[in-house]
Amino acid sequence: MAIFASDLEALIYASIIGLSLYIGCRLLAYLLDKIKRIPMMRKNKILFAARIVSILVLFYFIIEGFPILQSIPSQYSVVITGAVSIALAFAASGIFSNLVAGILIWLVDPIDIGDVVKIKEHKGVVKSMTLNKVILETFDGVIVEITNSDVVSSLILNYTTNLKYRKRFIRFKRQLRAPQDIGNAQVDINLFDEEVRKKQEEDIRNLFSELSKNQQDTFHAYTFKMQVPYKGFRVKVDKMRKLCEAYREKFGYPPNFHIFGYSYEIFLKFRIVCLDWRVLFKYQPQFAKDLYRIILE
Amino acid sequence: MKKRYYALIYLIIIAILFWVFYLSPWEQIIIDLIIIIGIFYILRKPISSLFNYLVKKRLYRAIILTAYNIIGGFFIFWLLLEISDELFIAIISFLITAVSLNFRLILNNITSGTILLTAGQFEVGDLIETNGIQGIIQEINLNYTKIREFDGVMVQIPNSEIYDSTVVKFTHEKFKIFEPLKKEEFKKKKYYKDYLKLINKILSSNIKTTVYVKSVEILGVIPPENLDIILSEVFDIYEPIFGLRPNFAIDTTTFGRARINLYIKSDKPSIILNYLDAFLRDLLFKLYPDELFEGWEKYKKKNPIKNLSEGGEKS
Repeated sequence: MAIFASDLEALIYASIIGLSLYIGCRLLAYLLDKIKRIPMMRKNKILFAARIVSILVLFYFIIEGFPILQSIPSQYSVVITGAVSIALAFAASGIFSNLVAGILIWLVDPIDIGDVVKIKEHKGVVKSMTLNKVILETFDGVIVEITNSDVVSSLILNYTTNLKYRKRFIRFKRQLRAPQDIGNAQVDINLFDEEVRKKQEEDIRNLFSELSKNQQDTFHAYTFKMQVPYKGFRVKVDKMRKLCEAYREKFGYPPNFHIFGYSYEIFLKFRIVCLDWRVLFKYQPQFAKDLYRIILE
Repeated sequence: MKKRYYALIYLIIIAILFWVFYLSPWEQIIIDLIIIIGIFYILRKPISSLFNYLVKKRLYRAIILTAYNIIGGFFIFWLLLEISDELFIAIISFLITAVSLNFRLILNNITSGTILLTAGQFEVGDLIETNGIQGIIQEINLNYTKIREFDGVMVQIPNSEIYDSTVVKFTHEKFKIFEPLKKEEFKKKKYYKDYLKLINKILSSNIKTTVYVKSVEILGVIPPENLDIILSEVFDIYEPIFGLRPNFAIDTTTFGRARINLYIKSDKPSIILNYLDAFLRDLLFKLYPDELFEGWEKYKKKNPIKNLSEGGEKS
């Protein structure tokens, strides 16, 4: 027994219901947009749920409302509904691929909001993670949206370290130091003495107290490469060290560098450690520019 | 989300449930299912918070929450079935097809991960190169393999990507060489037992060594006859650090430069990771002292070093 008496009545009611649901969803989106306190991810989830429910309600009224559909023998109607659904599923598989990948990202947790990452050649901070996309803000301030399926199937470089044991200094130190720090790979090693070692220890302690004060569980260790000519390399290294000292205040920890290869020029890798990605984004380009000046002078 | 929003949502749900229970004209089974689903939703947040507090491991929490959601989902589908058979069939076929089409991605990674874990291709702690990434394997889970690069950056590579691409294994197993028994000792009857033990030891020994190959280019200013002597000086310093003596071989020459392969060997890959750059630095300063220190003395006189680095060399 159909809900409506005639097909015309069912069509009119289904149209009205469909329109009302559409307006309702738009209104909900508008209201959520106005409420700034609700995080983007939750807004997306609410909207997604509302849209799914709307489609289901409309689907129900179409199937149960039209008398013509009720007159079809049940075995045929089941086959038709199944076939239509499968066709729709094929058409919507792209959306579902991102959805499934989104669930996987949520479960495996390779990245988090606020992490500085490199995904598919895009370096930036994770601004939000929706059911379909991961949104990055790059160093240039450009917003990049990467689909969840692309994120799941590509290499992820994560420059952010999540501290498992924030309360213990010794564990923090272990996580903060790069392998090169342990192996004393600093280029101006002839200047390394007890005084320098103490200064380095003090820098780590300062960073640790800053981290504890902010009750922060993450820090960023961003690396980038530069090439330096052989001639006058030692002088340039000293100038770079001076520059790193000058950036100590800005980053909260002096950047460091080491040699990782050589060919027609010497390859240096710089490592910037800081607690706030905004600071990294603000000063890293300036730091790179200053290095460029030293290298070419 | 703020707690007051949750309170508001819960109030609305409870109001709806009261209306459904006392005033709705629906069949009893539908009313019961709606109430069960409502209660399930209301309890979801407190249960999630409770397990977040009790269970520290994220994976276990995810499993518990997923199981809870699956049970909740079961009641939702039951409700759909009670409301309309056709609607239920339509949704089920839609979901099964759409989701199974996309599970290929996950299944690929899970299968690759299982093969990587069980085939013994490599294991946690090995130094490898794959997809242009060199580093030590930190973790192999069902979807990703985590590799710590030489500069400490963590890279996560999908298992299927590793499975489908070339993997350079710098860490591999080797046979340990035992001192052979002397002939006269062997002839003595009591040494037969020791000999059998030794064979057993050789067969079961699982000693891993890492040979990392680093290619660098040497400028033409270095006379080839001096290369051995210069490199040997640095190799002598690093032999006790790595535990095994580094080595080198000329690979090719191009534009007056020679590309050499440095073979850095150690039983522990982490030692290579820690000391490789220091090794390269010492090698560089040994190879080109004149070029690198050009203008250094003059610069030092102008800029006393003590003031530059707030310590270090006393001028």
